Amino acid sequence: MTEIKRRDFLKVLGLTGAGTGLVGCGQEPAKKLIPYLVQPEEIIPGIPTWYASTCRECPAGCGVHVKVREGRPIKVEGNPYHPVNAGRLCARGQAALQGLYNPDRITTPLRRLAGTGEFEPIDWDEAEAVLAGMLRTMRSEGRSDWLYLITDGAAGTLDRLFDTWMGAVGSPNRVIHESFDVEPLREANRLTFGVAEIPRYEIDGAELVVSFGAGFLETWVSPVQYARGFSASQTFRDGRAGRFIHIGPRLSLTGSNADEWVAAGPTGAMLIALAMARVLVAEGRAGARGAAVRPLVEPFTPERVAEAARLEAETIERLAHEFADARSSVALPPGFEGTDRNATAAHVAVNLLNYAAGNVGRTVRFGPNVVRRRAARVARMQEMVETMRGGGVQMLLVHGSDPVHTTPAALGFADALASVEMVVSFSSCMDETAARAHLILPDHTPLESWGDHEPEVGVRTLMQPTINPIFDTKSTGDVLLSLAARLGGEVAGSFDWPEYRAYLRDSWQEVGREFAPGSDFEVFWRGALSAGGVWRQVGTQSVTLSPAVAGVSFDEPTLDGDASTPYALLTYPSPVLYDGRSADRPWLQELPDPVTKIVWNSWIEMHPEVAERLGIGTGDVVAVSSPHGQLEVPAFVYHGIRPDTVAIPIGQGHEHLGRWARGRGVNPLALLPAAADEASGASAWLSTQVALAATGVSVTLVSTQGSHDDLGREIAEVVSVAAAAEAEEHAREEIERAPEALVEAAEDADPKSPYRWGMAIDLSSCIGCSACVTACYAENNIPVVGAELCAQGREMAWLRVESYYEHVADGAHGNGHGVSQAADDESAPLVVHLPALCQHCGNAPCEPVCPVYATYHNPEGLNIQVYNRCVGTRYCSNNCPYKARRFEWFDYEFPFPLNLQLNPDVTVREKGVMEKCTFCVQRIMKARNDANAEGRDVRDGEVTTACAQTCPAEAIVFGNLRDPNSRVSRLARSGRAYHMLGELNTRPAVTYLKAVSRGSEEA
Amino acid sequence: MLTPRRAFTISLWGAAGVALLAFVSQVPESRRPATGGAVLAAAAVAQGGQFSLDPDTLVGWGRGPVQPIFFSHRRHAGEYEIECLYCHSNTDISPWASMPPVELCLGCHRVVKAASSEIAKLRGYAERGEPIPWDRIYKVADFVQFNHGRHVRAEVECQECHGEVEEYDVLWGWSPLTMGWCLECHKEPGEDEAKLAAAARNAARYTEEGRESHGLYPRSIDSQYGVLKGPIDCAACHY
Repeated sequence: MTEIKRRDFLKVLGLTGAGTGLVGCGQEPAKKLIPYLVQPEEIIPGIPTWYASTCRECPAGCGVHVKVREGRPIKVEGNPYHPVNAGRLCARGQAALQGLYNPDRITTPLRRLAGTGEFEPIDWDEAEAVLAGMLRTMRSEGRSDWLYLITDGAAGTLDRLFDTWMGAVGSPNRVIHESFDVEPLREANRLTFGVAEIPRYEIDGAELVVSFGAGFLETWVSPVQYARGFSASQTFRDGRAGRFIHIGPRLSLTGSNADEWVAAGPTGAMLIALAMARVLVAEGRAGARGAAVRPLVEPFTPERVAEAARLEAETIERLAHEFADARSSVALPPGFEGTDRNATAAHVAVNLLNYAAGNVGRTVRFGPNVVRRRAARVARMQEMVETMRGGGVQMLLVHGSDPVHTTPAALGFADALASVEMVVSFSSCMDETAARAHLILPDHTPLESWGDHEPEVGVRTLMQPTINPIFDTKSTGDVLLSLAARLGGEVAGSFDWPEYRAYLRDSWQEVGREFAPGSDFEVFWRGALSAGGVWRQVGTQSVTLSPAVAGVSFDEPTLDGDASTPYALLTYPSPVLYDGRSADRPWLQELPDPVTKIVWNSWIEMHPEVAERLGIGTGDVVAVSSPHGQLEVPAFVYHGIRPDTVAIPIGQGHEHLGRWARGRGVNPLALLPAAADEASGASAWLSTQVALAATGVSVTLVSTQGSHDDLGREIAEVVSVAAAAEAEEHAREEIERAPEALVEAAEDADPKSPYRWGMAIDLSSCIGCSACVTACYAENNIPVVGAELCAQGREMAWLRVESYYEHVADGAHGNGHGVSQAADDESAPLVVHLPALCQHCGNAPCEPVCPVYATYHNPEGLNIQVYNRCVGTRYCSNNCPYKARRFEWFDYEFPFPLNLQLNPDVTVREKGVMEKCTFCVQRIMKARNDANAEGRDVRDGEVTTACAQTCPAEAIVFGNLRDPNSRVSRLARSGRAYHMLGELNTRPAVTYLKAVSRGSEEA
Repeated sequence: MLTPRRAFTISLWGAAGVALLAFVSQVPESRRPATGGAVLAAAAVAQGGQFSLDPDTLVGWGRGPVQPIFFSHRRHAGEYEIECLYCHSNTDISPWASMPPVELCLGCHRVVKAASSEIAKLRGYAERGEPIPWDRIYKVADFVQFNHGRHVRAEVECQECHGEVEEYDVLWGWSPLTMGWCLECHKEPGEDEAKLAAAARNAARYTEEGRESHGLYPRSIDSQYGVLKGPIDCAACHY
């Protein structure tokens, strides 16, 4: 047989290739074109409709605008007119869409097959008949109080319906369980001021913010609102910037924004606050208020508390002096993770400090109080569990809460469920409680529901459906009304509404009378629906010190354990997953934790000294044991935690909840006792110590940032206030001299173009919350790749937030950042968060290396990536100094119904294509198109990117660099402006403004 | 015995066969010669000739798909001169051209020609609550972002892309929808005086030298910015 010559082989190959090529070029097969039968009035195909609603991903109640295309919500954005969040939204809010479109949602009512863990679908009629039958029997046998209802603590019409419904059925047993409640603060305010309310902390008006641990930029009370206020007071502006001191054992996301971290002992907050108040009083700086405070704080001299608080007395005195010297100041309480067995007293101590400094009524404002139902005390939960065990609970209804996952294992809730005859879950996803239920009656997700919410006094917000229910679900309000009708008699008599929507509308009659007296209800209702709710200004309620405060005992809280368990265990709500309810959202699982940058996992944070003692490093699995339980979790070695404390985030460790959450990480609640803060009854998160032991096993903790040190390359720059003020002054003169001058980057577009798109990112504002990252995923159809591919550096995020541990780059102010416990620079990090994205360089290194001209500079200065030209050589990525480019290694899936979320204005990329940030070119095109229709140019502020739109700190500004008066042009001419790796002459369109640190010397 | 020559020939035929098969299967059903149409036409004529579906008199017969309802653009847009935007409403403001909802058809046809067999089908769809599964004729590729409104507002006549629709009884893919075909028009010199003046004004603010001295990006695309009839920048359509 003759050999096939190489030449012939190539010819064959070539021709076959040509044939295949021909196939590839054929026009796409046409599909069907389906018109509407009756076109809804408000829908024009191709143009989005916006609905105002309320975010229900946490209790804060931010207002949202939902972008709906052809009946499908595709993006959630903050409602710019809303008093809580003013148009901004956090990552969890952005990911609400993945709750709606989660492929693991419960699609129909389910009934457990007797004796198994399996469920079978049943229809609504049958499910309700079963429940109604059982309720009827219970009532006729006089056992109505064997019915229990567990709900979350949101206030609103549904909450009132729960109360009246339980009343009508005859059960007093409604239990409100909020994973992270604010009861210690409420109780402390009752004791201190006689007002059992949660006030608003006016951070924006405070020059000095001292936090005793509250994660107010991540999870505490209303993070977006506080982030906005924080940005207003801390951003460097007109030569000044506020100062933020974080006191606590761990450098949290919130703490990482501090100018100074005071690494006090885990239970030191109360004593430090008392000692600070005492210094104020003793030095006569509390004015007339001193007399009242003096007897309370007298024993707590800095010297006396120093040892217990594990902090030097001089530091406490200095903090007190700073607090008194500041023109305006505010002290924030310990928050969730600082809730120990005497948390109420700690909150009282912070109250006293604020009171002594004259902050109450100024920066601590009662009046616009947070509205939250009072959560059940731990004792009440224990009592319920006991009753369940004893067979005294025949039917348990659970709504908006997952107590199996969010109560300590030691409480025994999960086991006690087995003794309840009928557990009914209203969850829309298979959470841990639903998985143990006998009957699941799935509620709509918030984006499918009618509803309302009352986040704070004077703010009533509405929720309206933005899509027809995707699955066979039913609003819980409707289920309750329908059950009432089935029960008949007086129960049915007290509920003569055909559906929950009518009930809601009727209950708003009263809101109408309050907010718009005398006006027509129909007009009011329509107005409120389109605005997302109604709100009004609320005056300040004046408070004085209550005599009850004298009875508060400031005993040091105890932690379980002894010398064999040497580390205090801090468990904190994950900034990304909250209490775990968001763990089934792939966007959030793949969103790097803002502090550790770890994705898809749990970890235990420990100080390098501890790691050394155990002989382990990051990724080594440690066995953690407390007197109440044990678990194994990989270590993350972190300078931002005290050597006597370890920390595990709450949020992971699900056995159910869908494919993305199942079997991932650990739930640290397994280690906690069912302990409570005595006075308020709130769950004590900080209540035990643990022992650590190396296991010898090691895993890969997938982190998206290789190093937190920029190795002197000045990627993230920091200056002192003085240096910043000088530079800004210089820049201001320059702007006055030549107001119409443009920055250099403005040149890098076609001469005839009116636009050169650019961005400015103020690092003194950025808090690292990573909301921008999730907003980018939502807007740009970015696929989620999973932990394994992230480990290979194949995550697809177009925008990432890097964090660097920096030092103030200014000779005059060498060690400006101060950490009181500082031993060396390494343990004294000043963290700078830096959102990194494609810089849209004017002289882009990626462009000349593309062999097929798939990436190029367009006439408006954008660095464009043309997917259909790209052949995937990846040369561009190799040549990009910013590592901004991402390659589609595979075809990633958007399993139904996640695919319904895809933005139709953005191409879904396929395998083999390079992609990267486009500056949301689809939004630019939309704005240009609108401007074109009116025969004008795009105005400043008319177009913004998804990241800039959502940024709670307003750190990102997008606009036209060719307009000298645009906000972005002004910022780009700031004295703090610099380009990342500017020395490479890439001429980026993204200008960073240096972070500003106010170190301790300057105070 | 398999000689290299024979192997080559076989592969060649094989490749051609594969190509042909694939090519045919790629041609949408709508563009293949209509076979079912004759049956339908015969039936319609036999029904008593409310209107004629005689292939000989139908313009475009055999070139386009047989749609679920026989709808003649020649009758509506040609003979009765109904505006395109009356049925394809909002096409001047939306990126998408709309298809008339069944309700809109019935707006007239509850009265007009109510006895026709085709209108009976229309009523059938409405009564069954079933949308009409029209065969799609024009579809740009998924990686193209085409904005209808922008073109309508720029006074591009519908016929420039869709052909003389008003002369056809049966609609067919008149234009190839290839990029080259789009660019034929986009590359024509611009006509808008105001736009040209604005472009000149902007150009006066920036010197070529400044850009040259930095050795910046290649400029073959953007040299035409704002002076052509349409943009030829890739990102105008691909993003």
